[in-house]
Amino acid sequence: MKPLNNPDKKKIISQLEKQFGIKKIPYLILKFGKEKLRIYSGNLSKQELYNLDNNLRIENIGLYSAKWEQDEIRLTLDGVQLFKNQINKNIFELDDNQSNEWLKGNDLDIKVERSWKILKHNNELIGCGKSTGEKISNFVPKERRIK
Amino acid sequence: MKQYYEPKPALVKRMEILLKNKEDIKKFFEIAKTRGKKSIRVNTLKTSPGELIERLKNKGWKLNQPFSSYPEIIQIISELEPGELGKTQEHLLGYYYIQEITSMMPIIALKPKEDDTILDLCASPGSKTTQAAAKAGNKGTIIANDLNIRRISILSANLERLGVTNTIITRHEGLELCNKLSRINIKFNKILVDAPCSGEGNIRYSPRTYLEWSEGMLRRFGAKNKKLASASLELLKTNGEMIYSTCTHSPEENEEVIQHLIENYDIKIQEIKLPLKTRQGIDKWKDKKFHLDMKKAVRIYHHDNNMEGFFLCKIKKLSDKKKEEK
Repeated sequence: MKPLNNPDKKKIISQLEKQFGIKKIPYLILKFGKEKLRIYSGNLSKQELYNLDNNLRIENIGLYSAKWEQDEIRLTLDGVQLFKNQINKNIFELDDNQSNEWLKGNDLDIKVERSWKILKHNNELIGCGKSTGEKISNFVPKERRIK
Repeated sequence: MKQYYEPKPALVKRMEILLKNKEDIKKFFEIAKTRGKKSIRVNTLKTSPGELIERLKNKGWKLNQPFSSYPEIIQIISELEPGELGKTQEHLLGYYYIQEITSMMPIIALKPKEDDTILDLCASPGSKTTQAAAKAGNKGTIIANDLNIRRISILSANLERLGVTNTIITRHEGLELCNKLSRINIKFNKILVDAPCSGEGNIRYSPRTYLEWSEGMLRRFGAKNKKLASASLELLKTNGEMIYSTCTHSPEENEEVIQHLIENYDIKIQEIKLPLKTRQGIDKWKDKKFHLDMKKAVRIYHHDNNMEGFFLCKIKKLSDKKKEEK
């Protein structure tokens, strides 16, 4: 568990703005491992969190919201939901059939430019996928897929 | 259809003593053979009751909001396919949590606020943690603890799905966590001890409880929960509030635990107002007499509301002094 300092937080927000239009994160961002970014909105300071981390067996803090992947950021399904009011870039609209396939955990055979895409269906943001130019890769966690 | 098991004679006798009235006793055991209505709690961190109801009604579901003061509580009137409630897009996106209505009562009684620092000692699967986070608007801080790694994984998944951002998940045995928190002088202004119990109130959903039930089990849970509740109370700030709850009816696991706290700590039992039919805590059991304030504790029987059975008590800490120090 490592709370990000201001320069690192700015770097994350700058990347999120570039990719998805997200400009503000008024919370602590915590790095777990090399890539996982969690958002903590609670009232404990960094020092208090360190104190807990040094003395307790902490499994998680806050919400797993994003992952660094090769200098880019992938938002998790819950990260997309958390920032849904700010996301305004790289949104790709799905039809009913595509949305259904996405929520079942399937990749989508859609050819759009290579980038991370926020997938939208009926005014609902339902995830973040990676467009390879040939398909959009699915990241809906197995336990969250519609069976 | 779940198998039904006959209650052991000792349990029947105990319930006869607790309920007294013959018609009441008959209803208690009759309703144990049936299932209640399914219910959900709207996750107000992500949507509003009105928006969710509209979406669910578009699926053709018939719904009921039983309490005007708690519009987030919804009963499902329609007969759904097995598992259907957990397979919708709305569930996947964390717009609601499937939760029995009586299990929502401890957080209704605790009343979490935005600036609260809350300890949820036995948190998995996260029904009450997510409810507390919603009530606090993802502000303040909740430390949600459980021991078993599989239960932690379920807790974690539910917190993620519901978009909870103010919670720290810890993995410790309850007493061990209390000791560690005490050593680093962390205190809370609200604590929930939803204690492990024999589950007599949960019989409709877990019929095997009748098979596994024994009086020795009640004594073991009672003894363990006295320690757990005491250690938790030590972590409560002065004027802080703690809810002790179980889903069982045995006085060994309920009133006897509260009596132990009254005898050892400077506390006051608080009134609880809930939107259900409730009964008072009892004032005596076998050869034991309990404090008069025990009447402020709340017993919920499944046949009174066609829901799960529960016990709740709200405790206010008046000072750090222990009784022998006064």
